[in-house]
Amino acid sequence: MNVIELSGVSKHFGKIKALDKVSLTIKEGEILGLLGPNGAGKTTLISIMMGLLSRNDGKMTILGKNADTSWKDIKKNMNIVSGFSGVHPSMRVDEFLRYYALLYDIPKREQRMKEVMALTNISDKKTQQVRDLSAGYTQRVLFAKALLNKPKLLFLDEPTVGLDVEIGLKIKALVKRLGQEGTTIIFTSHNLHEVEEICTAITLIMNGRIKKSGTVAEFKKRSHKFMTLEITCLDVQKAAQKVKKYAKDVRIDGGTMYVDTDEKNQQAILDAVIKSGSKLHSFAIVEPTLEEAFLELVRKR
Amino acid sequence: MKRVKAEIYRNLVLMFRNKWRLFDITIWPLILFFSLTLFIQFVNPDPNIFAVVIVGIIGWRAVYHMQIEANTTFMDHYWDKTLPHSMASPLTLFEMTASAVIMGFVKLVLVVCMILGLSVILYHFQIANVAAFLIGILVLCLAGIILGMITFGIVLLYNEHAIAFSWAIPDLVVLLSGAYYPIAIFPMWVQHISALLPPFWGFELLKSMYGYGQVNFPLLILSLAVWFIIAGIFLRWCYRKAKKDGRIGKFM
Ligand SMILES: Nc1ncnc2c1ncn2[C@@H]1O[C@H](COP(=O)(O)OP(=O)(O)O)[C@@H](O)[C@H]1O
Ligand SMILES: [Mg+2]
Repeated sequence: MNVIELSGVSKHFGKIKALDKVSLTIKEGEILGLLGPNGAGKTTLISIMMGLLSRNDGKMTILGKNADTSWKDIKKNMNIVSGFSGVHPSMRVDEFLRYYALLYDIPKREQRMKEVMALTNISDKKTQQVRDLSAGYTQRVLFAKALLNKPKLLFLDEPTVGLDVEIGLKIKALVKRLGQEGTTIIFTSHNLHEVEEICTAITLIMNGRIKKSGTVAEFKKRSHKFMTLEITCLDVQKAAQKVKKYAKDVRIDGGTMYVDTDEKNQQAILDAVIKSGSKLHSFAIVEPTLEEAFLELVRKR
Repeated sequence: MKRVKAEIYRNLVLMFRNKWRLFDITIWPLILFFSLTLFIQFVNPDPNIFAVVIVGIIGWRAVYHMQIEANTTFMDHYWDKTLPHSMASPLTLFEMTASAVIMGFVKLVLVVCMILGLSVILYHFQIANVAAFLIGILVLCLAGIILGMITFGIVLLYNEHAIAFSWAIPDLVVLLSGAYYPIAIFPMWVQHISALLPPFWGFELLKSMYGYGQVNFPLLILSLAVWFIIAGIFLRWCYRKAKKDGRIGKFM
């Protein structure tokens, strides 16, 4: 089932075209990474899908329901964590969660609150005021809030922004687990390593338009036209001389050389190394990181 | 109903956690009460004027408490950046406003009891006509809700830039409505404006218990109805516009 179906969704703020005819489908259980430079329209898109922002044009079906007539039903089954949102600082953690448990009309409220606090590892801070918590804890309180209603659809708008690595890791593990349990997740982040690790699909958005959609593997493959080879051999210097004419760039690091090249020259380079007589030890393609693939796409414009 | 309860719960927690908020139902009304009653006692007028001032104070608080609550509810969400979370939940604008009305009414009841109690004990004040008193206060409550809806709409659109404005409007309206004086002291054109404002009729009704004021019930009901419709349409329009301009879901 498709959890989200958008077609031709546009949004402008005065003269600014924040979204331009965006069409997008997201399948159940998918963890979609929404990528794009600052100001690309990610938050705008998320706000529209949550019913917090009205759109100028386009059709939208969410959780199988028409988003113009069934917001109340839709909202019961989704939730959000944003890196730029907040918590009433004078409320205690349990009070904050109780407020949202009431809003979502959660059955067995106190029980569910206990569960989400355990899931996010904040049980020990239950009776503390939020103002006394660190940024990482506060963010976990928001995660706890977002899990209260067991959302079928969860929006995460840069949820790890400004958090230290350790907390970031914990949150990452939590998101992964939610995905495995079948929650559909839409995730934006500036940290591409994070996206690469967590997401099952990626949509790249730039200037309010969708540039590319695909799986993480597909995103990387596209950049394989330019690949990096890692070659170790007995006489790297000698081999490097022979390889040079097929390569864009050759870097030597001890007994290893890294060769940036076009995909079609792969065989020629291998032959050249062997012919140079410098005794090949290993020959491998370095997997490009998503970051490299992403940068390449952004630069190509 | 659960969601209205949720908003009230949140509001109560914030009120008791930030103790100065309790001033609104303790210190401030007491200061208003004593500053006026002590002065009146000093001037020593006709006891009926004294009574008019006391019901005027109560009426003013009625408008204030019913008006302010929706605005503070929204600004709490706005400052603490919880607005997108709450608006992404099934909570509706109507439920948010309804919870504010209930909170405002509870606070008002406490304040009225306090002021009435003190008036009776200290100044032997008597309510001349309980029915007129209750209806007058009810009218002023409804007028407060109307003003609250209008200022809430303005705050939705202009956020913190509108606070001073939307805090001042109700006081201005009350002033024009002749809280504890006849509006005859105003120039004629101001009197015409006053007569269009629902609070005017509420205060007239309260004053009429002590022989100062006349109520035109058809006009009272008409002005309430018309203003309710205007305020409702205005608030809805502001909400739509705020949603269009990205003021509801803004994650700053
Ligand atoms: N409420 C708003 N009013 C006016 N312009 C806005 C508003 N929200 C976003 N924009 C503009 O829309 C574009 C997309 O913004 P946004 O969705 O926040 O980008 P992202 O989340 O990808 O960084 C930007 O040019 C931004 O300035
Ligand atoms: Mg953003």
